[in-house]
Amino acid sequence: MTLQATHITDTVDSHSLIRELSQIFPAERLLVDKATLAAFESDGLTAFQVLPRAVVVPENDAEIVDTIKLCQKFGVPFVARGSGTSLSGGSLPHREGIVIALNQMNRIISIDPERRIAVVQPGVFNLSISKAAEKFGLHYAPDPSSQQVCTIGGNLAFNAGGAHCLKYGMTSNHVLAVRVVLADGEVCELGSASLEGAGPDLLGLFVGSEGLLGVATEVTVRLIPKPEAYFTVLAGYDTLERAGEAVAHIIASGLLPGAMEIMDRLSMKAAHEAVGAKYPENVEAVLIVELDGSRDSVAADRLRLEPLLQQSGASAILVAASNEERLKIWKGRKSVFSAVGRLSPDFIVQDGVVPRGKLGFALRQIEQLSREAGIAVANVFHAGDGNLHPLIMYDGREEGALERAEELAAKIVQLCIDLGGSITGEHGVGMEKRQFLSGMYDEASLNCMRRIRLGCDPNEVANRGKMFPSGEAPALSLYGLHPLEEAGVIARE
Amino acid sequence: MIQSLQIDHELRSIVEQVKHCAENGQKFLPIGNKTKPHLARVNRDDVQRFSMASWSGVIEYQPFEFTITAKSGTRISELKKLLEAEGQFLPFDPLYVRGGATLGGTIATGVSGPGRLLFGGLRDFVLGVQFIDGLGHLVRGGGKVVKNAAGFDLPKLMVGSLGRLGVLTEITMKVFPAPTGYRTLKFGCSSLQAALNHISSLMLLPIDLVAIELDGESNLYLRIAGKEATTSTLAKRIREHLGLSGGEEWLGEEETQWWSEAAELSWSEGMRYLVRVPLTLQDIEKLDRRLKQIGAVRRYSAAANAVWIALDSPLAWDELPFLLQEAKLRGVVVRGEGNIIIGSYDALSFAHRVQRAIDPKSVFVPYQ
Repeated sequence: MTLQATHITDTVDSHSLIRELSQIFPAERLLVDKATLAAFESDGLTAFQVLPRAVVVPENDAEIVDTIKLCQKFGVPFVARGSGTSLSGGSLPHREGIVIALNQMNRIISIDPERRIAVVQPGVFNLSISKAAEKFGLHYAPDPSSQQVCTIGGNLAFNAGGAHCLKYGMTSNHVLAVRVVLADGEVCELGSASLEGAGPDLLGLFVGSEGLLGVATEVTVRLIPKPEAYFTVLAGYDTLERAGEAVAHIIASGLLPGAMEIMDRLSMKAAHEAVGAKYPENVEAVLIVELDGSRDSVAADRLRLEPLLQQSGASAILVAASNEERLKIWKGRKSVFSAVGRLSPDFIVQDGVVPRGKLGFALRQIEQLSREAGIAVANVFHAGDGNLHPLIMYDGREEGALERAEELAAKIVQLCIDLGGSITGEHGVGMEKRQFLSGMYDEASLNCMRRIRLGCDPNEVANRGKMFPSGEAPALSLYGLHPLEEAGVIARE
Repeated sequence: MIQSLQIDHELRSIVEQVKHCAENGQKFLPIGNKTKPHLARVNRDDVQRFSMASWSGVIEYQPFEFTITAKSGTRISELKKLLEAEGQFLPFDPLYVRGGATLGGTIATGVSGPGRLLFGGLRDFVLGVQFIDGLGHLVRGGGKVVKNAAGFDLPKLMVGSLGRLGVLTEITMKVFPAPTGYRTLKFGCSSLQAALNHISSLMLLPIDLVAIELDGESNLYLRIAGKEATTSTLAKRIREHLGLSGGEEWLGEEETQWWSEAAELSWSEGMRYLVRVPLTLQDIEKLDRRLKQIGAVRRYSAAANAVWIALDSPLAWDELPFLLQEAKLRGVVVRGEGNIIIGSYDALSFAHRVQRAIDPKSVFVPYQ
């Protein structure tokens, strides 16, 4: 069965498209000027840059519906965009496409403490929800590192995670309902304010669909009580493997910490230089463990955790004695991505997942691959759920450096597949990992996903070229010139 | 006609059956152990019901990874036994365990038990699925690790699919370490409103409540987890917070027994009709009055995020869909007649599109 969609993009008359868009948007919310468009040419995956045809900035659902219908009429692709923090190139524009920038749709519509829900527009920042709910003692649990700026719409599209996923789950576990403009302009409501559903979980399908099925215009999220108490501890180890073993002991004990994170020496160095984070001296790795919950439960769990850490061969154990100290530990951890920028002009971050029991093996392999390639890799990861974040450092000004870094990244992703894990834990497939999707799912499975996509969007205008390995956008080649580069669709500058 | 897999246990034979139905213009309905009878029944002559109950067995259990993979016909009771031996559990309290519910049937029904309040419902614990799509292809979605964002979330789509989107063949679940103990507080409230007020007040308390159930007599059941000393302190704090003295506190066998009966829905035994309706606190006052008028027995679950409605009278049963429609609610019929989903169903157009995509030859039964 062929599922190749028909694309009619090439025949589009840019002038008529822009003219029709200008009937929907006033000039200040329809951006066509190249200098202005440049702000939208990349997202968090800066290796790719593509200027879109235009950017529209809708203020309501009707404008989104009209834009999408217009895109369907012209066969022009669109991508919805929040803050553009995607690390997988998920919000990279299409050369012939429209960017729907949702930044003006950034209202928190309501916080309902009794039902523990918040209703927000897609452009609201992740952290803003927790801030608004704070006065009720509630918070929104998913906490990606970029939570100060990333938007809930983007979190939803890519099923964003964070440091607390093992216990609390990912975005999809905290979104209760969503109003969606499907890729053909139809508006529908998925889910409800209730925690439970009846009938197929269409909301579950929509969350994490990477913008391929439509655009969320209103999101109802679940709020939960802010933990009353924390016990946060940072333990230093001689080797990464020892830190990994400590995680194994904690898991085997039956404890369920709110977070377990590991940072290696390079990550510590980066965090220290960026935000002055302090770590024990002469250690190769630190493990951050955080217990959270009611003060009584945390006190009880602490009594179980402390002896485990003491027996784990840690050369130093630092307990956060105050909330300030706890926040400092997290500031250091969450700064690593941006901090690595101080150690290296460019870097690629991967987010493959391996079974927890294979963490030690995976880290040794990564170390070896890094040595063989002569490329430095900093490791910071969600140890509790086996979600790796190797930061592969390179200097983009050096000829062939990006390609070598990508080659190493590809080997690491392949390693995750081989170990029975996943190519992505929380960043999504996007532009970057499309060619690896077929390493996880066979043809029949991809075919089924693709039929769902085409059922909603036969012309594939919604975020065209992302997630699927085949179709109009060819697979991202890690060897030599990228096919899209050859075609002049994308550029790396 | 119910076929069984006595002779051929091979996956291939199930696939062939699906293809055979597609070629002969028949519909295929996978069923489990019929613990939710209405889901195993369909009033059409062209439907071949196919028992998956013998397609059973645990494929992989990795306690350290918090994952378990089993064939869809595996009984939940078998999983529970394995998990308990390792000090783990399925936190959403699967239903009808004693009755013989299968993993596939549980996922396809999409209905969680009382324990879904704290860590999430079964949708939150499904990590991976394999199913036969309408073309007779074996399709995989999700994975076998606790965190995964690759591809469309087909595992979640299968939750509540009611056997109408595919034939589940293999499922990977996330599991959690089981609590060291439980305590339950039971309070008889003066009215439904008083009980609901207590629930909304508890929603802001930073104490993890594992489950909150409310019966039709305004009895409130609060479940907390931890060692005895910890739950004793927590119970005191809950009482103070609610300003409630008296009531009962249960520990040990009595406690466990009450909750396992709750997950068996024993209170509804013998009643002809049973429906599960998701809702929120704000829907309850008005709805409860109407339900009482038609003689329904009600059980509010998961801090009033769902109501179980049990009925005996066919007249009342006929009225229920309108009553739900009016309240803009819908429910899954576990025991009853007619449609499998009753009440208001807005997302049908999207559901149909997804169903057509997965099942272009319409070999599975339509939703309505």
